[in-house]
Amino acid sequence: MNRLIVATFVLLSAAAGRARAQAGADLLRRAGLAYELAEYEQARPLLILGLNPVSGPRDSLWQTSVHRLVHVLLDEQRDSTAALWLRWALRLEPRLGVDTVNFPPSVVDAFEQAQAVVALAGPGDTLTETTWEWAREPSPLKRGALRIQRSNLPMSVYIDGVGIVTPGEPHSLEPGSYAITVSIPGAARFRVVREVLPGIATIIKARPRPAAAPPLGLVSVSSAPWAFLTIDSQPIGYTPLARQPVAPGAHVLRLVHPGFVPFDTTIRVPEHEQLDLGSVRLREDSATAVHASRTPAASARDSLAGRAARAAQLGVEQWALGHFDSAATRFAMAVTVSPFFAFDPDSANPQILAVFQTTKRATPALGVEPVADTTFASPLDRWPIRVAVGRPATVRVHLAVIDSTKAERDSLLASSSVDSTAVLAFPLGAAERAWPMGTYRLTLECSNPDGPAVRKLLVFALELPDTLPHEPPIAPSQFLPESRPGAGSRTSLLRGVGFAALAAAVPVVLGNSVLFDGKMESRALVVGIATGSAGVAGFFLGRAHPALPDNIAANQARRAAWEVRNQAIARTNAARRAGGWFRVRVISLP
Amino acid sequence: MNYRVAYTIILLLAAGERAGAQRPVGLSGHVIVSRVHETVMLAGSTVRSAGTWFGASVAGTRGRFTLSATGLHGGLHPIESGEINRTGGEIEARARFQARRWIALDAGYLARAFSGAAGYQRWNTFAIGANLSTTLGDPMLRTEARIAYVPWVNVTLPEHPGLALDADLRVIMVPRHTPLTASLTYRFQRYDFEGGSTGRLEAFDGLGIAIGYRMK
Repeated sequence: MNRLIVATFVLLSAAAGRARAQAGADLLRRAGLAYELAEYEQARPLLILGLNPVSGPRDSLWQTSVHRLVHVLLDEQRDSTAALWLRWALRLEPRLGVDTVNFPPSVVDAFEQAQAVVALAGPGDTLTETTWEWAREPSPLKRGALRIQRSNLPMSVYIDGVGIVTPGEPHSLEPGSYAITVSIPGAARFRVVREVLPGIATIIKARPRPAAAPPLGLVSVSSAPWAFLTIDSQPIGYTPLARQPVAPGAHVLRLVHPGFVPFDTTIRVPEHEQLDLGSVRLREDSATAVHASRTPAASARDSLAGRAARAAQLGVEQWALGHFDSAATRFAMAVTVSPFFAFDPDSANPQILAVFQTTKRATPALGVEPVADTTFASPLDRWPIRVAVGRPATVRVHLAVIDSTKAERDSLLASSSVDSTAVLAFPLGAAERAWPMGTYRLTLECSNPDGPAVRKLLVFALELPDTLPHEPPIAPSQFLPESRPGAGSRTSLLRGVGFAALAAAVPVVLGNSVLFDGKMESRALVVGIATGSAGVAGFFLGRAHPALPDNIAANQARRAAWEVRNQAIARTNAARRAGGWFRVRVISLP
Repeated sequence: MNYRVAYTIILLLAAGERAGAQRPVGLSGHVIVSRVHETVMLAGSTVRSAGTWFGASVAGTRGRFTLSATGLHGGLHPIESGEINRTGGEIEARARFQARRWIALDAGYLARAFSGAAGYQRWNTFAIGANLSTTLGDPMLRTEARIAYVPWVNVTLPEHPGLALDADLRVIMVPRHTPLTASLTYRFQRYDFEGGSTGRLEAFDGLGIAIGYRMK
């Protein structure tokens, strides 16, 4: 009984398969008739339906039908769609040859172009299995879809031009060829190119490695600037790459960046082990490369920018390991810390740049960078504040005076739509509104549809500017000598000697010789010697000093210039006091 | 004699007042340290004493007229053994009139006293003198020589001096750009009492250093 049921089921299944195959072939034959009658509008949908790989064998009829569809699309001036179908067909059936006898040169040219593109198959082509969900009523104008089948292992998927996609969820895409990077950290990471056909869902499934396959080694490499990595001429992905699974043995590794000399090297990957190549610095003008490690700038380590850079660096490291979602989370953290952060286009590869940009535009964040301390010469001047947002938003700026004796009242100072970064300038001088000198709180706020508004507070002081200090007097040492030393003063010398003799003689002349003991005279002699010495000193100090007119004139000019400068300073200070100068000094930053 | 002295002082004061009218007053102060020596010959026997005296002086100048007061105090110890230690001191008031740039006339009263185990001795003198002064090439350096006749001396001794002279020499430094002054002074005084070398002869001299401050 059971055998009968099974036999019946097998027969029915075979019959259904033959029926599907027969249906596909029938569709292609009907399409062929319409094509021969040049009824392309009727032929095109029949061809698309009949080319479904599961509808029939990829025999000569199928191959001829590909040619016909391409011809129809080229005739309808849908060249890109024709090329897309050709790439799809060549990727599905690499042995597909061009029929140069029955089809016009335009079809032949399209074939050759598509073959050149598809010839660059990567290792991912052997690691993936692609299937399609065919539309019942295909139309070249419809969007297509792409779905990455879930795997038992954690998987990250990045599609160039789209971003990070979630495995298992269909993604509606414009028809075209898409480069898809699939990462199963520690197990596989590959890059495949697949076509998304109009109205058709492309399903990609990662094939598990055969149990008998030799164990893989792991390769890590980064570069400055970023580069595209190929191993044995097979495209792998953008650097940095960490723990990239590679088959054991010798491989030729190549790093390519536009405008830089490609870096080629041969590596030997051991089984089960990790090979870390470090960072390769590509050179513009030399074929050699040097190894260097990259570390975040120490100067920015403690600032907001430094914290953002560190978060972004962690994101890059996650990206290198193939954890694309974790990388995006880190990028969001970097944007939250400082929306001003941006990657250097030379250091981050295009995929990272694209994901960061997408993440930034999805992250509600607000950053403020005011001019910390500045003096304005006119009440018409405006205080500039640099603002950055993650998600584009309208930034509203409120100003409130901080005064403990009065209730605070906010004033809406400005409202501006900011896409990424902007400079908002506020009038604080007396031109538009007389803000009194004092301490103010500036609140910058941008709405967030997913939660509370993002706010940043800034406290600053509005002050009268300090007056400029006068220039100090010119040091005497900076003046030129106004006279030169002349001859010594003989009169002074004679006076000194005379008074010295007088001093020494006082006890002798005025004293009573009976009382002399020698010491009295010596005491007088001390003063005599001192006076004589003073006379000698006066001989030199008291000499004439003829004037030097040129030096006197130069010194006078210098004094006059000093006075002119100080007069200018005095005028500037007077203008500051009377002309509405004001100073803005930031007290605390967000 | 006393009449003549009083008359001289009045004349000097009057002249100084006229000369210094409408002029600002310059004040200065000095601290003084002086090594003083006293030599006394009495009946052919000579006694020498020395000591260090400390003191101060103030002076006010208006125009050509200067009034000054000086006070000193210290010990006086015999150089040879066997004598008695004493303490001594003096105060002096002096008026000076700058007659010319290089010469000044002055008059002063000096009271000096000594005290020791042997008793108390007091000297009161009045002197009039002339003071020569000149700069030594540069206003920063000056020197002065003064000689005075002491017409009146009153001593608490049985004898009275028949001749009394007072002289001092001084070299002064007035540095630029500072209100300070420094001076080195040698002062000599001679007192010959009646009786000549068989009676009493005295000489009093001192070498002193003064640091001054000009307030105006």
